Amino acid sequence: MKKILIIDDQLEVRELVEVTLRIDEYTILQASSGEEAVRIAEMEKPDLIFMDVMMPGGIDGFEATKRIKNNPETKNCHIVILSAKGQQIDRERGRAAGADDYFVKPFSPLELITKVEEIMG
Amino acid sequence: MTGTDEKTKRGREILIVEDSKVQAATLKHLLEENGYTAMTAGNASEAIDILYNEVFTLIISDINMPGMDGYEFCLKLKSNEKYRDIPVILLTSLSDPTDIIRGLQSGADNFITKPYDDEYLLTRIEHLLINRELRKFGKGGIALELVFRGEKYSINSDRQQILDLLISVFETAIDKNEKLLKTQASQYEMIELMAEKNIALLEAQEELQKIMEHLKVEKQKLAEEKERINAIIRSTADGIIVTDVAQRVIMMNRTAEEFLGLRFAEIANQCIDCVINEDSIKEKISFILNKMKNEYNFDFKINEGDKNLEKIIHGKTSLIVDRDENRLGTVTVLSDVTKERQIDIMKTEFLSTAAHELRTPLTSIQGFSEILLTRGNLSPEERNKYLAYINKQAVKLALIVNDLLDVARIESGQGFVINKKICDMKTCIEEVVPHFTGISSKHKIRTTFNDKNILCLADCDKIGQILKNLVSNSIKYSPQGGEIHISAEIKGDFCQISVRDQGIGMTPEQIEKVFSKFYRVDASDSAPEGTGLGMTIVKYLVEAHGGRVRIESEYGAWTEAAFTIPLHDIDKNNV
Repeated sequence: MKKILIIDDQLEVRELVEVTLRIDEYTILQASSGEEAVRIAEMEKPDLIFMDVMMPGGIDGFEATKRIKNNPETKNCHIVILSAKGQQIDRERGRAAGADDYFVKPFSPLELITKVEEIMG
Repeated sequence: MTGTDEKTKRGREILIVEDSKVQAATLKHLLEENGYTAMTAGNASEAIDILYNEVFTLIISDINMPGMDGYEFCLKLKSNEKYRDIPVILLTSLSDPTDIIRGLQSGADNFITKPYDDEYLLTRIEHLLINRELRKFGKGGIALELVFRGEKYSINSDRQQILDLLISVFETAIDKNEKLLKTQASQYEMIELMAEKNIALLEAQEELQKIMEHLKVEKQKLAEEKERINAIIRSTADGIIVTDVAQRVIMMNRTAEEFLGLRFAEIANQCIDCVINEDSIKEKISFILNKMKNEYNFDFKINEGDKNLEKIIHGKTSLIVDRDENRLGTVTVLSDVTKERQIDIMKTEFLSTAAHELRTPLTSIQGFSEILLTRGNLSPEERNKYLAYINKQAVKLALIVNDLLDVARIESGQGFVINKKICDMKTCIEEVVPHFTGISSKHKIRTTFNDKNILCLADCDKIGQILKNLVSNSIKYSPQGGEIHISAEIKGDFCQISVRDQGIGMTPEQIEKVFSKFYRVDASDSAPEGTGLGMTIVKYLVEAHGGRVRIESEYGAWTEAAFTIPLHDIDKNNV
C-alpha cells in the first residue's frame, strides 16, 4: 500500500488532508514539525509528502524538503508543498529546495484528490 | 556789325587779364551780355601786347598770375602816359590789409573781391566809366609815403583814385560785415535751436536717470529674489545638484553636500565624472544629457555597511529646459527615504503575513465545507466535528480581521471608543483568564493580586483585549510551554499589570522594535503565527487609558510585559 505523509503544524489541516484522501489504498502518516517530517520520511519512506512551510521550530518546510531530497534514502519521495505562502518568490524557493509540486492554501479537496491520483497513478 | 552798334559800343571796350581760362571766359560772357566788348589776355605781358594795338576803356586784371602779377602790371600801366588814364580793376581776395596798400601803390582804380557778385561788378564798372572824366583833373596828384607794418610804401595815385579804392574797400568791408552779421544771425538761431535741443536733451537725460533708478530698484529686487531662492534651495531638506549641459556641477546645496560627502566650493564647475562617486547619479545625468530620457527615478545607498549611518537615498534627475525648449542642464533632487523604504518593506511583509494569516483559517473553512457538501457517507459525529472546525476557524478569522481593522483605525487617527468606568482590575483580569484555558495544554496560567481592591477608571473590555494580546504572545513565544504569570499591584498612582512567561525571551534590539507596526520578532517561516499588530494595539489602548507599556526580557529565559493604568482618585472624584 502506498504511503502518504502529511506535515502541518495545524491539526485541522492534517485532518482535512487525511479526510480528503481517505481511500483504502493509501496509508496516511502525520507529522507536525520539520524535524518530525525528516525523521518519519527516513523511517517510512513515503511515496508522497504534503509539506507545510511555516511551522514553529528550527526547520521550516523548505529546509525539511531540502533535507529529504538530499537524503539518498528518501530522495525519490514526491513532495508537494502545501502552503499559505503563495507568492512567486515562495514557489521559486520551493522549487529550489527540490519540491515537485506547489499547492497554495486554501485548496479544494477535489483538486487535491485529482493531483494525488495523477501522481500515484 | 552795324554803324549804330559801333557807336553804341564805343567807349565800352574792356580787357580781361586772367590766367584761368574758365574764369576769363565766364567774365567775358557776363560783360558781353551787358553790352560791353571784351577781350581776354592770359597774362600781363600778353595784355601789354594787346594794349599796344587796341584801345580799351577799362581793364580788369587778376592779381595772382604767372610772370608779372596784377600789382606790377597795374603799376606799369599807371607809369605809362599812354595808358595811365585807363581805369584798372584788380580782382583780389582782400585777405590782407597789405593788399590795399599794394593796390594803392600800384595805382589801381578799384578792387573787386573774389568771388564777386555779378551785379556789384557791373555797378563798379559803370561807376568807374562815369567818373573816368573827372579823374583827369587831378593828374599828377599827390605823392604819399606811408609806413605800414614796418614797411615803407610810396603812393602816387590821385585823390579820386584813392577815394574810389577806399570806397570800394569800405563797401567790400560792409558787404563782408553784412554777410558776417547774417552768418552771426543764423549762428544765433543755431544757438537758440541748440539751446532748445539742449533742454530737450536735459529732459531726456532726467527721464533716463529715472529709468536707471527704477532699473536699479528692480535689479535690487531681482538680486533679493535670487538670494531668497538660493537660500531656500540651500536649506531645503532635499539635496539638490544642478549641472550644465557639459555635465559640470554648477550648483549643489548643503543636503546634497552631506549626502555625497562633498564641498561644493571645492568641486564647482567640475565635471561630475571627476567629483561624484555615486555611479547611479552620474549615469542618470549622462543618460539625460544623451537624450535617452527626460527623467529618472532611482535609489542608492550611502554609508553602506555602517548600521547607524546607512541611508537609502532616492534620486530624481530631470532635464532643465528653458521656455524655448533649449536644454540647459539637469537637476537632481535627493531625498532620504530610509524610513519610507523600511516601512515599505514592513508593509510588504505585513501584507504577505496578513494574507497567510487569513489563508490559514480559510483552508479549514473551505476544505471542510467542501467535504461536508460532497461526502454523503459522513457520520453525524464527523459532521459535527468538521462544523466545529469551520466555526473555530471562522472565529479566528474574525479576530484577525478585527486586529487589521483596529490598526487601520489607529492609523487613520480615529482610534477606539474607550468607555471608562470605575472598575476593579482584579475582576477585569479574572473575567479574561477562562478564555486562555484550553488554548494551550502546555501552558499553565497563574494569577497574583497583591492588593485587594484595585479601582481604576478604565474600559474593562479593552483591558481584556490588552491581556489577550499579551498572553497570546506569551504562548506563541514559549513553544516549550511553562507558566504564564499574570499579576496586578498598586504602584504609586497606578495599577501595574504584568504578564510573565518562561519562553524564548527577546534581545534588546527586538524589544526596541516590538511596538513598530507590522513588526514580528521573528519573521522567518519557522516563526509563530501572528499579524505583528498585537503590540501596536496594546500600546495604543494602554496610552488611551493614560498608562504606559514596558517589556523586559532575558534572552532564552523569560519575557515580562507590563502596563500601567491610573488608579481611580476617590478624593478628586468627589470634588
